Amino acid sequence: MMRAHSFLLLTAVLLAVACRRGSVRGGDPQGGDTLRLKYSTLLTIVRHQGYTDVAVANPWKTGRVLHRYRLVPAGRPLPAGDDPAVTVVSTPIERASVFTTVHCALLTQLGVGERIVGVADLKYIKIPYIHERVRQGHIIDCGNGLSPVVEKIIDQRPDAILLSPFENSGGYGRVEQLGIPLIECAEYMESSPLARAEWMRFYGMLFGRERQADSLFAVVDSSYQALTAVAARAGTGRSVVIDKMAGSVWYVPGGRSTLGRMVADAGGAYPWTSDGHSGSLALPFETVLERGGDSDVWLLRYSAPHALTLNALLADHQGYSQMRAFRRGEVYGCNVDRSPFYEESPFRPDWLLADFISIVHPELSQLPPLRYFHQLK
Amino acid sequence: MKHASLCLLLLTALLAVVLFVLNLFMGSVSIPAADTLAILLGDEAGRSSWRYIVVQSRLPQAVTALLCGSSLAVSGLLLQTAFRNPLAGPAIFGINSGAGLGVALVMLMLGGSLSVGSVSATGFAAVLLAAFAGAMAVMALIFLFSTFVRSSVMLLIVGIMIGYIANSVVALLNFFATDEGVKSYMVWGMGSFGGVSMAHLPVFAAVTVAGLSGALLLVKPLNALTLGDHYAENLGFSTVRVRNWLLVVTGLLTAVATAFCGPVAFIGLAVPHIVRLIFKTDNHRVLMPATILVGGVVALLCNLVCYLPGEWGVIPLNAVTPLIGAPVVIYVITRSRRFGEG
Repeated sequence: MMRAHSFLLLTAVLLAVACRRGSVRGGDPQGGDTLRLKYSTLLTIVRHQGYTDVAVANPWKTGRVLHRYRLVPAGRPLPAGDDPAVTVVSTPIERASVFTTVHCALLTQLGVGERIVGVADLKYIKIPYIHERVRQGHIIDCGNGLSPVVEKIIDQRPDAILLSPFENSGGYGRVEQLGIPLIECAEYMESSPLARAEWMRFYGMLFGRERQADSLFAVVDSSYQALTAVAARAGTGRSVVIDKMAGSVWYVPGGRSTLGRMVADAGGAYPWTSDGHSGSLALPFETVLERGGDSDVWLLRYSAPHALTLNALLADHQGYSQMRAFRRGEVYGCNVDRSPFYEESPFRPDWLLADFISIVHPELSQLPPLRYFHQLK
Repeated sequence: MKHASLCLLLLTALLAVVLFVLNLFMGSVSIPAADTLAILLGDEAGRSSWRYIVVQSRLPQAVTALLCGSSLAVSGLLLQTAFRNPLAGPAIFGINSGAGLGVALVMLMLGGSLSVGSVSATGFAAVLLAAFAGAMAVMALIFLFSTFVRSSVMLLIVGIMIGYIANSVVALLNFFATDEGVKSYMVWGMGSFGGVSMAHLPVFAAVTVAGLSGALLLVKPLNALTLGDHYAENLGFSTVRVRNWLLVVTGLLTAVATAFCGPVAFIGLAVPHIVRLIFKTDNHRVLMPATILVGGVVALLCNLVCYLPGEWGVIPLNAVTPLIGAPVVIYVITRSRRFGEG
């Protein structure tokens, strides 16, 4: 029944997206069906009779597995052959501690926000719904996400804890020993925006919102592809330099970073496109000026109570006056304190891409107004 | 002054000039030497970005390195002599920590801006003011203690304790801060000579030169102090008054250097030892100018090393200074009879 059900679903996704490869189901040695994901390189999902196995590849050590999960629907017997290396999660998760803002936002979007019982770093979660629930006492703030208050977590009796893994962080301390399944949300290490967004299908499975998650991803995917096509038709757009100095260093997103790739998808010329880093490069100002000083537009993220102005930017670093984009007033800022950039963009890369295309191709008129960025005055 | 010392001083000065010039010609972006020379000679032609890099970025950076290195080294010398402690340095009185606390408050708690009454500052200006205020606050506190704590060792301990308190507040702020805040603070803590723009340079230079001049005026009493407190008192120097002056001068020099360049490690501690090794004297008439010069030389050298990776980025300053500083200190501690027995 479940197989037939999901097959229908996948067909629907296929039709909606009209994608190149589509989701293919093939047999695997254990007799399960591998759900082939379209973009993700880290997730492997295999459906078996009565349960689903999910393996998360280790993004930092090629060939290794970060975490194996066995998703067993509540009430179903555990499959035979208990493996201590596999974390068994009873689905759907009814009570979750969610330590990352972006997953709080996703769960809210999938209509299961009421299942969040604990969060961390509450003051940095800019979702009114979560704050409302905290005020009503339905959600507990467990403190700092990297070292949460263990007693508060236990007190909430969550079915699972969603957290963000860090490279060589030395594990999660006592949180690991509570016997509560840890869902390691490693999608931020995926190399493409759509691969990252595709993880919502995994979260959908965990929370029994598979259908909603799959159709939401289909929308994201098709809209991202459509936007990329629009950008491609418009040809090469304006050149872009990203972010600004942090003290004496300018952290420039590498050529294979999410932002670097999205600028490329938007048709923008990015001076660091040939660079192979998926993270950021720590560069002194003169290097950025030499390579990116002639860029047409400048996109920067900042965090402030008020909108940043060109004058304030210049007061921060006189060298900005040498940037061509600055002299022409083509500076676009995203105030991450005021806009839901970090909450939304990981699972709605299409919305961010629309912003990039509007900025890189000002001649395209059919695009929605800017959602995250605004032109600095 | 002995002939040999004079020759060594001149050599060091020459080395400083060479390193200063190298700092103008070398950096992350490779600009042909001929172009750099043309730009320095006032040629308006050529690429404007290169002109900016040489005149507005490398030149103030080299001047800053020279002055900051000198002032930190001089602070170290003053403190080491006054407290007869080879491990005394600008960092030990908690002045760095005070500056760090000020910056942490601005970066991690106030979101990068500072408002006092109607005056408001953001970004670099806010950080600068906060660091200076923090450093001066700690200095004032130490000064207050020095009026009733007569023992120099006790005063040192008070300074170290104040530093611990400041650091614990910083740790607390870091714990509750955003990722970006923590990162910005970390970058600041790495130190950099690149933060002083041409516009800020006159202020930085004026205060630093004033502080260095003050240090030069302290040469005589410092020489007397090395002979012992009683001897100095007999010569007519009030040890308490000398100590107070010395605190003002080191406080000012460290506060300004830290405000503009971040907490630069090891130069203040190591350079006086390097100078004593080379010049083999305890006479501050030689030690003081030599420390000023060698401090500048070491800082210019460290700054060059920071930019060695070229296109690939930049090495943080505080990752470089201990590489030069730590071996020297170890060498001195293990070899020196004078401090080993004292």
